[in-house]
Amino acid sequence: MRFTPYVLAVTITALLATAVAIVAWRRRPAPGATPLALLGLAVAAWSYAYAFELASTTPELVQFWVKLEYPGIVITPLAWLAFALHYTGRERRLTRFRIAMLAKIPIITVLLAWTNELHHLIWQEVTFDAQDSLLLFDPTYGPWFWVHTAFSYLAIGTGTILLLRSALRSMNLYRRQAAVAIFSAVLPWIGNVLYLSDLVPGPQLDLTPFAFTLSCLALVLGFFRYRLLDVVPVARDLIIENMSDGVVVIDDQNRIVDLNPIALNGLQMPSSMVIGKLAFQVFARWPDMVERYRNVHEIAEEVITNDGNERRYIDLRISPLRDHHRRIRGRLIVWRDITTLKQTEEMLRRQNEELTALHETSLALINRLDPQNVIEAIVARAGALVGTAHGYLYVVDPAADELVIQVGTGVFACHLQCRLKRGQGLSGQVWETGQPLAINDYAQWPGHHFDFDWLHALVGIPLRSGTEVIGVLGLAYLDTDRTFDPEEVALLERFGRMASLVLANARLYAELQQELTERKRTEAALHHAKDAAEAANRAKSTFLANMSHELRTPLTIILGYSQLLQMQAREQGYAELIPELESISAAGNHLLSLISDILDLSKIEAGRMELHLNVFSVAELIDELATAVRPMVEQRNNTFAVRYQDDLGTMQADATKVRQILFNLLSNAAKFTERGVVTFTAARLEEHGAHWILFRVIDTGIGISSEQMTYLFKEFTQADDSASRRHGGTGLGLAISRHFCQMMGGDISVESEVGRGSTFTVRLPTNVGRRNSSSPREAQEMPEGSW
Amino acid sequence: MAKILLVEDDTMIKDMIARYLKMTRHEVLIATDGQKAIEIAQTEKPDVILMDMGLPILDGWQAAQQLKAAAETRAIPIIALTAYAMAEDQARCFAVGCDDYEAKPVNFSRLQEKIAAALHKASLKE
Repeated sequence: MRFTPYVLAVTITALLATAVAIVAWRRRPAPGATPLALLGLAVAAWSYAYAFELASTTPELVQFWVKLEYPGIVITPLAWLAFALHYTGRERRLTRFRIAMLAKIPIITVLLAWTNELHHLIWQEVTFDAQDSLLLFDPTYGPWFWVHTAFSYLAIGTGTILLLRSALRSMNLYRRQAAVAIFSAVLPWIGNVLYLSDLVPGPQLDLTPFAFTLSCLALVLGFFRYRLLDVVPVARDLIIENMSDGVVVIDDQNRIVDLNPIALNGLQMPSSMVIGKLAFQVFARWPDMVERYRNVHEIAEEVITNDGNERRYIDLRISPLRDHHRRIRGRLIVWRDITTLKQTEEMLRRQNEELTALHETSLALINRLDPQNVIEAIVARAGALVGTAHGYLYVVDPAADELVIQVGTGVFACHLQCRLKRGQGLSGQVWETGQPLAINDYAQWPGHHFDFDWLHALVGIPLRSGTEVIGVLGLAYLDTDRTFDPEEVALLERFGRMASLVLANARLYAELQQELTERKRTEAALHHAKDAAEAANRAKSTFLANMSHELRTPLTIILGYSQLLQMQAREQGYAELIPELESISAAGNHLLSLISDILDLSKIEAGRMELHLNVFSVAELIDELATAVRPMVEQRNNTFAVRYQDDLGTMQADATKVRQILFNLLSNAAKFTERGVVTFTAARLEEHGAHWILFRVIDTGIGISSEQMTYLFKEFTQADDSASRRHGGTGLGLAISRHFCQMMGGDISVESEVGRGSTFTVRLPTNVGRRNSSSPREAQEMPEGSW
Repeated sequence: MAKILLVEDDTMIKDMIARYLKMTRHEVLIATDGQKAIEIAQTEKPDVILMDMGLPILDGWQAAQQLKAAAETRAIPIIALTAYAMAEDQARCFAVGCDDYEAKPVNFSRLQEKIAAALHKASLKE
């Protein structure tokens, strides 16, 4: 071993490369640092082995170290390529598979170098050239060596091109960083070219490790000085290129240094016309903007530009660009077009305002129920909505088929006599079409009906009930600079729909009120009439009750004395007087029956006849009646037959009335039958689940003609007027009987044949409901009073 | 043969009924108002009272009520004899304590039965 200055130089190179590896390794998180560390390590390994090669004194040792150099030699280009890929943001291309593929040639190369004696594929012939105390390795190269060399140049070349492209692209903004990158990319080539071209004076030394080491040093310098690996200019470029915001970089001379496609698009100029030009020239289209931001270094605000007719909203930010001494080197201008956002925002705000206005309006209107009041409020609110005091409202008069003005405000206040035909004027047209109509130049409008030269803009809104137009709301602007735009018309139309509802509602309410008032009046009248009728009824009842009492008193005397006289006539032998006295009794009793019957009928008519329900034995009732009637029947030489089933049982009914009905029928039968048969039967029957008692009174008397039958049950009719005189009776009995039967849910019917007799059938339910029964205070003439 | 108190303010009716009762061999006491009826009932202790209702001074209902309230006259049967012939009038008579009821115009034979029944009932009580 011997030490020469070359050995020292190479050793220093190796140490530097080691330092690079360590520095890079420590900054692993930075992009490209790991491959850079690998690169440093490879160069270091190569250089150490090279140092030993140079220090070797025997060919065997030289050969040995040369072989040891090879791992470093083959890894270096790959590490370089990896670094370039990482640094330019392409590390994703380095898949495991690709690394394995790329590693094949270097591995083969190393293996071939180490086994060269077997095949001489790397070095065909090895000679050693002793120069200046150096034993230099001087081979003739085998075929694989050229493969290896080609591969290495390819790798290094690719890496260098990537780095150069990136550096050139960021040249404008990161000039020093780019310079360092270009320097470090180019250096290894220079070294290699020098080595291969024998241009270096002195011994034939391989300068490639030196070059790589210098390259590494440049990169390390870049780490510290220019934060080369901290900022990745290219990645940042990509972001800026693809941003939707416009980005422009201006240097401290106000020249445009860089701009992205969006910014370029906004300027509508090719980039060659922009880059390097003065900013105020490029932005000459917006002179006030240039003026405004000429000396502004930091701002964030919203700007409104009027580009032609189009109003655009821009969110503009200017930030200062400083170097590492905090000096301002330029400005970064970023802007974003937020017009759509603003428009949406504006639309939302406007809609919200409209909604609020509509809501307030509906609240204000909804509580009004008087139609005129509602109409006035509609005009006032509609005016407030669009900011005018001039409005009116026509309502359709269906009878005249005309629009009649209801309310006018502002200039329309004095036009309260107006009537319009269908299609006449603006309101007439709105009525006809059912569509809103805005005329922004009324005086010049051919359809105008009134010569209002002061009227500028007029809008008519239909008010509908269902599909039918019930009115037209009109609003006007008198100022010449105001017009009704479609949005305002739409707003008023919405308002009109709501106002229509309110108006219809108010009208309905008014109608309802009127109807209610009328109904109340009718009800009051009915109530009054009912009261009057009831009072009259009460008066009638009281009168009848008093009449009954007052008539009974003299009747008592008449009937009493006629009885007494009969008794005395019998006792004292004045038998010839008896029939005459009996006539007095009969007449008196007839009068008494009349009183009772009239009282009953008057109650029935007044609906004051009440049922007094009780449960009684039907058989007992029949026996009792038979006993009472038998003398009457037998008096005219009639046979009286009473027949009923044993199973009649009890019934619930008004016993007094049942008795009265049957007594009436039996006494009729007795009256109209002579030397015949009167049969009284009763039976219980079930029909459709209901139980009935059927009473029959059958006689063989004079009978009733079909003509008489029609008014048999009518008041004050007797089958034969002559019969009345002959047989007595009030003619009210059958009418009252039928009323009683019906009150108890039954009926009375008759079959008859003139000269052969009649059959009266009374049909009553066994269980009369309580519907018609009530307080016992209700008056009823006692049947005992009637004979 | 019974002692009957006839309470009646109408002269003609009073005479007529009194004549009938006498003809049927009854002893007849007369009162023309409710107050007198109570006095006579207390002093004479009749077997039965025929009581009109529409009476001066003290009406028949009040008189009947007082007679039935007093221990000494309580046992005397009272037959209401009235032209108030409504069902409610009858009910009112029974309510004040009358034992029986006969509406005017009077059916003498029925009245006779009612007097007999009242006497029979009173005798059973004794």
